Amino acid sequence: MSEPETVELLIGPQHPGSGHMRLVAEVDGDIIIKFEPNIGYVHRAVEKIAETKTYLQVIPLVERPALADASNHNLGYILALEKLLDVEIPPRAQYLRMLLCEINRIHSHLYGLGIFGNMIGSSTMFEWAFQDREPLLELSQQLTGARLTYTYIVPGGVRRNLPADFKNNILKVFSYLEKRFVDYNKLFVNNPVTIARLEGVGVISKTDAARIGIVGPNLRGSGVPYDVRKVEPYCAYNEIDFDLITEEAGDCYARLLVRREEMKQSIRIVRQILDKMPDGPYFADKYMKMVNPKMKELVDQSGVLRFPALFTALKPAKGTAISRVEASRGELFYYIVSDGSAQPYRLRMITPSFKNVAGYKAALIGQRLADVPAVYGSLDYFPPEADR
Amino acid sequence: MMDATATAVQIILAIWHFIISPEFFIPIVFPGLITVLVVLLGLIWFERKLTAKVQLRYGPYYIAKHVGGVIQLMADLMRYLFQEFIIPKDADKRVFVLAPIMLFTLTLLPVIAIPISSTFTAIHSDLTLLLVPTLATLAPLLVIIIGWSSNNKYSFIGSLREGYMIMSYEIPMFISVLAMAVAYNSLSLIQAVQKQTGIAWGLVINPLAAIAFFGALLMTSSRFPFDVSEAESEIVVGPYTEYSGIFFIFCLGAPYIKLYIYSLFFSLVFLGGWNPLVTPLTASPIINAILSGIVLLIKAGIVMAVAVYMRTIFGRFRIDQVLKLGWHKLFALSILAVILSLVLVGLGVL
Amino acid sequence: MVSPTCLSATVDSSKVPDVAHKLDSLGFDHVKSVTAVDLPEELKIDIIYHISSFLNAELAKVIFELKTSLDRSDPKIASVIDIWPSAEYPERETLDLMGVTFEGLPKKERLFLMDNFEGGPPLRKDFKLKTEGIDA
Repeated sequence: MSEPETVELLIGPQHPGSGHMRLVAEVDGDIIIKFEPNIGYVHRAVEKIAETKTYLQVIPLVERPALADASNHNLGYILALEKLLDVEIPPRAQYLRMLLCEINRIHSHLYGLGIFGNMIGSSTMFEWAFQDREPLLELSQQLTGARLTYTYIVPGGVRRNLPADFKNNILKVFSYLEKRFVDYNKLFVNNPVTIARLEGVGVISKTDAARIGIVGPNLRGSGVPYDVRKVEPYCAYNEIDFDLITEEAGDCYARLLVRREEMKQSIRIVRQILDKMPDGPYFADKYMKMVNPKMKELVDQSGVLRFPALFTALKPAKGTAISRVEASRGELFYYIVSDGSAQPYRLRMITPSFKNVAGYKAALIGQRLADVPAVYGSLDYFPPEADR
Repeated sequence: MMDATATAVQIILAIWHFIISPEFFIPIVFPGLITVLVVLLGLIWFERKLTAKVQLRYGPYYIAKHVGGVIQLMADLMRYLFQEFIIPKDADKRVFVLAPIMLFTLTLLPVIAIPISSTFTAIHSDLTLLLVPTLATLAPLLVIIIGWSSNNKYSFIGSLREGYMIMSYEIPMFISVLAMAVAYNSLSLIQAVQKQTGIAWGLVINPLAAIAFFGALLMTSSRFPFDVSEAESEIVVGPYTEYSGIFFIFCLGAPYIKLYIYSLFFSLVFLGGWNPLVTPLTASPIINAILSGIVLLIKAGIVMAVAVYMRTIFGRFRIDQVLKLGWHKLFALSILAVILSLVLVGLGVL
Repeated sequence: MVSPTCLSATVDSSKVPDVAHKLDSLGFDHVKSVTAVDLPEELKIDIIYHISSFLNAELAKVIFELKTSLDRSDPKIASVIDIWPSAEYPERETLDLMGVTFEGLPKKERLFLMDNFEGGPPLRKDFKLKTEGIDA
């Protein structure tokens, strides 16, 4: 009769390195032999609640799961809805949508880098990344009126026009951020402790990554050149010039490098958006005509939209629609089933973090216990987004 | 009447002589218990303020606004004194309660062997160079006992990691002390400082030993990047997970006290000790002693500040990387330091 | 109205593994989503698989929609997890929230719901959400 040689560790919800979920690890000495993520601690039943709300009321519901990335989720839902509505979006609205989505991408990557630094022990990286989100929150407030969850993208266009001095502000923010990226390189990315901790850790090979279904920078860090903005360009991404970033190694360090480069590409995209922004309306004429004339005067004066009365009970055509967008953490997939009434019959939302859960097992079997936070930070897993 | 005042004055003088005698002064006042508590306050405040400045925030701010929040640790201490001390049901109760107290006091033990000037020492022995590191090796064993008695898997893993770390830094540390003993041709701290007057600091005589010893210093006091046994994001707080209240302060204060002791030792052996540069102090013995003490404290303070600053720059290593570093790099460096010392002595430079 | 890059096929529930093998051999290497739609009036539950490819650049533009219908009183279908490992978590979610049995799925623990959850599968139409303060 001998005692079992492995220790079962519950890296549970009350743990500084686990987020809102439980990771069950069976450890032999220092090597992990079994690993199972146990998710579902923050399930808020978004899909069920969406069946009881009108189509416009669903927008805040789908934005909330991923806070830093809210407008990408918003955009995915509206793109699916507009396929059922038969409305034409003006070009200026397309560009404004892309602008907010790219700002959110930088915001979300900074958040991910901050958490990553904290997991490895570099508290300075955590503080710097989180504080450098503040200029982006200010920009979002100028553009949409809210700092964090915007409800900016509505069926037919967007809710507000571009403010007057927005271009100057954004260029100032970008020059500040580019200086900070140099600091991040010196402190974190080229730090020998970081490289020792992350290089060769949690390797996911190219075919494994494609078969288990992980998405986003994790997939591109394993060498698969897949980005929805290049494969099926939505909004006006086919008119913008940017690089698809991939790395071959497939380890935690490669995923860090992909995120760092993607932030720079987002800055490049926003610069082009500001240069190429077309003039014109920011909301579809079909719905603008339905706005009350007295409200219309207010809308023209202030540049802030007032909804037509139709939006309280928007009834799209009967049928189904799908859409996919590239959210910051990966590919976001929507599927709406409509039966012609004012509420969706079925809303299906597959968020990138839900697909990335499969990455834990592939990356951590055979690694050491101390690699769990490193892999957690590199996959940029966000439990509320996965559990919805 | 005259007798009464005379005896009273005699008693007071006797008490005064007792207080300023080295056997009492060094362990209790300077650099002993009272100085340790003041240094703990100042060092933790300095670490928090420095880290905050680098990280673009304020650090301790509200408690004593005019002086920048220096007594923040006193406020934290008050709070911890009133917190409930929870003993887990399945923990080994006596060991659970006694071990942190012993840890806090035993880390302070090596201070009795530290001389402040060439005449002011508590222990008159010529083995003090060896005595200080030897007494300092008692403390890590208590950390292992703490982790075991908590009956918690994370504490157990933390104490195992502490055990591995002991194996990776103690041997390079002792070999670099051996290198310096060879260079100074004695095992007494007073002789070590006297050998450094007139020639150069120990840092310049044998830089390899200094680097190896500094690496061991960072490892033993759990400074980043060697924070492994208290790695927050992996094993909660390591061996000290189950502690709350004042015992938590004991547990977390012990690495800082170790840092202080090792910094004093480092400044005596490698930074010229109590001499400001290389010339000896030549004033009356009392003023000599006071100035020497101040100089020693300032040098130890510089070493502590450098060690604490590492927190802002580095992340945290993994335990197997620390072991590799200790055995490949530090061990090899310390062996080379011994060879360097032998060469220098053989060439007649020292 | 369906997007132009979407192909669709409706098959019988027993044919799903064969179709899955064929699609896998063509180069479709992952499942994007497994959706279950509850249709109580027609007494069936529809399962819709959305399948695409990461490694094949031409097929990556295509989303293949594979639809099948199951009997609502006893919804059972073979799992495609052996062909596409990426279907594991969506299938587990459908099992948990909609009560559909996937034969061949190794893990049957609850994913999102609590272990002691009472009541039928929540995503079905006969499970009414209670609003706090009004009817709960």
